[in-house]
Amino acid sequence: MGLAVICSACAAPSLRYKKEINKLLAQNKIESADQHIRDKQNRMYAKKDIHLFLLDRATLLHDDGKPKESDELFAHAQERIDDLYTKSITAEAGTLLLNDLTVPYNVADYERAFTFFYRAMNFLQQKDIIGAAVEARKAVFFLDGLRGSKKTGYTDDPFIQYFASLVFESVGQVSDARISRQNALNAYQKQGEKMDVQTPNFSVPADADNLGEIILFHYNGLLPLKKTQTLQLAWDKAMSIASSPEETENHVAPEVQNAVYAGIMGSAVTISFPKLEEQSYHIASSVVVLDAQQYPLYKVANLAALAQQDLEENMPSIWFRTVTRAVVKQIVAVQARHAASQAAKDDSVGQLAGMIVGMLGSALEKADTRQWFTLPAEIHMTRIFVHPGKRDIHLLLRDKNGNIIGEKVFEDVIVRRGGRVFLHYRSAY
Amino acid sequence: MKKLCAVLLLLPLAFACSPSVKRVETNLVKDVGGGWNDTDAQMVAQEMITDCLGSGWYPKYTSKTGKEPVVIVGTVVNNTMEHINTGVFIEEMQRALINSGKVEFVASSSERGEVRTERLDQDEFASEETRKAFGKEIGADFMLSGVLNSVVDKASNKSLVFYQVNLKMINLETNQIVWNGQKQIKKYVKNSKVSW
Repeated sequence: MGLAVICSACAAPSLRYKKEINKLLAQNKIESADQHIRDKQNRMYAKKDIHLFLLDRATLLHDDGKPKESDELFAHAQERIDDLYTKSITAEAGTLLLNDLTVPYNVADYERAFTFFYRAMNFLQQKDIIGAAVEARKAVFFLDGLRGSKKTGYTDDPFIQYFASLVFESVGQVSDARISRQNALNAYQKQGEKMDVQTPNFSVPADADNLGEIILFHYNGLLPLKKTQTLQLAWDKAMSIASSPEETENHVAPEVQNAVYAGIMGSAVTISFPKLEEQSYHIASSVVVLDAQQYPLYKVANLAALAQQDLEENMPSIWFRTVTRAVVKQIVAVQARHAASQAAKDDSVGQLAGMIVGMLGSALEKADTRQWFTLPAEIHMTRIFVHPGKRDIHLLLRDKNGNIIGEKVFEDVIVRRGGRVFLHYRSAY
Repeated sequence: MKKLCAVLLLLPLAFACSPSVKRVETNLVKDVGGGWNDTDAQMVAQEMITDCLGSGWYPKYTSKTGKEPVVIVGTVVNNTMEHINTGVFIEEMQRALINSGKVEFVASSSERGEVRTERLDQDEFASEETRKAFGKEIGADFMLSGVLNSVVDKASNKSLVFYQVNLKMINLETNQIVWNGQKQIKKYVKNSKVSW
């Protein structure tokens, strides 16, 4: 029971739970996915990780075409993320004694950047270009800060810079648009090949002033999911067990599994760290069919690669904390064994005490598998200049062999002269 | 042992917290988050309108025409990094203009829409003696509009936020800018790095 009490403070969305949500997303049952997240809030999200709960939900509401509700959640999430700047000394100490889940989820830089993108898109859906411009400015300010302070890893985001430039153009801030566009191009040149993304290169026709523009974002796929990789090493028996414990069919928690292995192995050290598991999806590309012409979409953002990069960037500190915890817990178990042996004047009592303390330590050893998992794996986009008017826009979804396996129709889209329409669609299958 | 158990059982109550609410005066100056707030809107509106109506264009207009200018407030564009409700700022400016007693004030374009709908309604349903006729609106002589900008300088847990509000009074007939005002506010925000 004590284990349950302690472990409840270290709640994190399980791999099984994330896959359940993804399955609903793949079936386009977005409302059901959102309901499932709400139903599981208390079990999967610790109170200190309310921002993660909000982000996971807000994305789904955005995908479901509910920009106002989505933005309310994103706004709260952003406030919470800003508040989390203050680090708790006791919670940070917990990461060296218990596990990495004692501190609130530290939103990755790329996740933070995408909160600005999603909010801007929500404002655009509500025809609030000023609101979108505020988010674009926040995004650019944040990315400027990263570029100035970091040398490696996620130092800029070419897609978000490019998107910001479009928003700045829409509000007539031509200088800001030019700067963001240049930053985008620089970042695409630097990162494009590594991230497997294409530099947007959409030509603007000479008579663009007499035309309207459709900008369509296709959010595709499922983000790789973090899962726990565990190693248990018994020094004296030269034994080791490697596993990726998940909640079992009959709801046996990974913590209990770790404790059992540790008990079996006696004097064992448990090390847990996160790793990413790719999620499969079938759609590889998409194309817009409009006025009997085809306009391919280009992959301009690769969030799966960003997730991988972020994890790699954090692995050294994760390893440091994991190894420190293993040493601390081993010392505590040894001390417990000696103290119990001396108190009872019986070595077997001491061994039992040491084993129990060791099992408790193993149960508490959990990798930090938290992430904003409802993000898509990639973003494709296109820009199309059309004559003003009302029309239906067909988005065809293709698999890796070019076969059309899905379609989305945006009905009665009104494009005004000199105006821009921002559309988006989410596919997860 | 019993005492210890009692303390442990009761300990959560010490940290159990419901939100605490305290009513404050509406004119209380209190900066909470470091962003643009109602005090900024009130202060800037009051000072800028006072400056506007005290500048040279006003006596020039009144002596030339013999009447008070009719003013309308246009848009105030938000170019900052915060979601600022410019409607609050516009309302403050309207209030300051009307209360000055120096100008006549007409409804903004959004307000006029509602008024015209009511007039249409009266045209159909109100008695002839009481219905209000079309074509009798007073046209504005000047429009007040502006922009709100900010510059943020941030490092670690400290940030310096500089707001600049620029307003212009434009003659609707000649497009002349008869007044150009500016008000600046700077805020220093420091967040605590650590807590227990």
